[in-house]
Amino acid sequence: MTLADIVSADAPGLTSSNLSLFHLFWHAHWIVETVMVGLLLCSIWVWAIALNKTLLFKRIRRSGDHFEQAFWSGRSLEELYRSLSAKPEHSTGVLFVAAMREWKRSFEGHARSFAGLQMRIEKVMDVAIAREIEHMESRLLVLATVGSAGPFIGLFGTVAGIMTSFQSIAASQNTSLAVVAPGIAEALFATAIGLVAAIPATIFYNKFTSEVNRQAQRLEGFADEFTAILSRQIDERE
Amino acid sequence: MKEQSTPMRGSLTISIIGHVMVLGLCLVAFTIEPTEAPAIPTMTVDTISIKDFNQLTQGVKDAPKLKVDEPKPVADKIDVPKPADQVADKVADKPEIKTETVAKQEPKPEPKPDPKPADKPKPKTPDYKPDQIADLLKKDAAKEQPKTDTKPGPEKPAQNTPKFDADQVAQLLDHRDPRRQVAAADALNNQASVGASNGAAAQLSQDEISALRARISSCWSPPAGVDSNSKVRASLAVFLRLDGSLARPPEMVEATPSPLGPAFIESAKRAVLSCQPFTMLRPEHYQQWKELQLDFDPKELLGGG
Repeated sequence: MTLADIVSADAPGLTSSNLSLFHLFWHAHWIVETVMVGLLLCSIWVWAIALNKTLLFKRIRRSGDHFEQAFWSGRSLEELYRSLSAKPEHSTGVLFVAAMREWKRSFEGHARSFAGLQMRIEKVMDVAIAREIEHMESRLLVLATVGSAGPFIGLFGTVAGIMTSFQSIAASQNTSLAVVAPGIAEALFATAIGLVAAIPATIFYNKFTSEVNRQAQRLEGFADEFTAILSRQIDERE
Repeated sequence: MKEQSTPMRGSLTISIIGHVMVLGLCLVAFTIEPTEAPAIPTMTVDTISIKDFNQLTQGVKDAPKLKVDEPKPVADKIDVPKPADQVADKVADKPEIKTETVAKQEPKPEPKPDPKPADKPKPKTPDYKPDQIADLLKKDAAKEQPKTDTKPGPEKPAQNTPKFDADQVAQLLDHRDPRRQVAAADALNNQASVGASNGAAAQLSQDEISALRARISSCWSPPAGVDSNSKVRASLAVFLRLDGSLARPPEMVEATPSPLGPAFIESAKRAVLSCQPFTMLRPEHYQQWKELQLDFDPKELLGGG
């Protein structure tokens, strides 16, 4: 059954009690309709973000693993830097490139002051970490917002739907199920959409937040390690 | 940020496609064909007051008497219709009756020869004739046959002697009135009948009440200090005769405690005494106004005037 079939099936007897979801939506109060559409868009956006973040974290993890393997393999850091600087990947590679760039700039400018070099490198790496984390965390707030506000938006639609059913009771002076049921169905549908949008959003938010924390710890660990190595180098040069 | 925008667009597309698919699935899964359930006819319930009910059940004096069928005995058990006394009588009578009936039942031609040959042979023995003896012998033979027939006769009553029957014993033990009746539901009638004596609505009609109130408020002169805003109230029990006059002096039932109270009650009693007879009360409803409780409320009695 396609959408067109349903529309054509609905068209002759709009007043008859056809109970498809489409019919339900089409005959809802405009407030409820707005809520439903908004929540549907939220749900679409949440899932898009979730897909995007899943792919992103997968890539970050993989590139991080690759980089660390290359870093600890004993290759010369200059070589590694040259291969990475052309196309810096995310995660630890970016940190390494940033630190190496600062290091190289200090030497290429023939500035012999090693005093501030370690501090500069640390700063640069901190900035790189912050940028990476910001990149990873971008749009996660959307998930949090939808997760917490979705049920409330759905509830708002529910309240509007219940109001509709009470108004129809008042209008028809009749409390039979046929009068009350459409409004209540509309109301429950709004709640359902709210939950459908909010539950995945909450789950994904928790998942991605923990993932971001893990990556941040990994970045910081690498930064500390790399700073230690560089500072040893600096001390040896002095 | 540029490298990120492409996967975002891709995942957004995937998300939209997924949502459309899920919605389509829901449209199929949640589409409920309206079932052709027959509309349940609603039952309208009328609430009637006790007054209405009493007036419905109130009898009409000149209604035709309900034709009551002769009282039938209670059927405790089907197929044991006889009262206990009759059964007992019959058991006592049976042996005598049965012997007679058994004799009667025997074929008439046969017993008649019996007595005659029995009597005849003795006188006829003197004139001895061999032919006669032969005849007699023949007749004796004929006589013996019927006798063998009659023998089962007396045995029959023995067969009919009452056996032990638990139902008959139960009937003998039953001392209830055999003519007692079952009050079944269908025995109730909806015809106009003489009706219950207290079936009338236990209320006075509105015009009777208002006439009574008007009369009392016209007779009543409230004591000084009582006007329509006073919070004093009193109720008197008034006992009336059929002609509307007082059977005995009115009695105070209750009154609000107030310094005005005694004077108020006295004035109310005076009003009732001076107003009698209360001819506006119809004698048909004497049962309802034989004993009246009159409330004296200045707000009601004086407010209107």
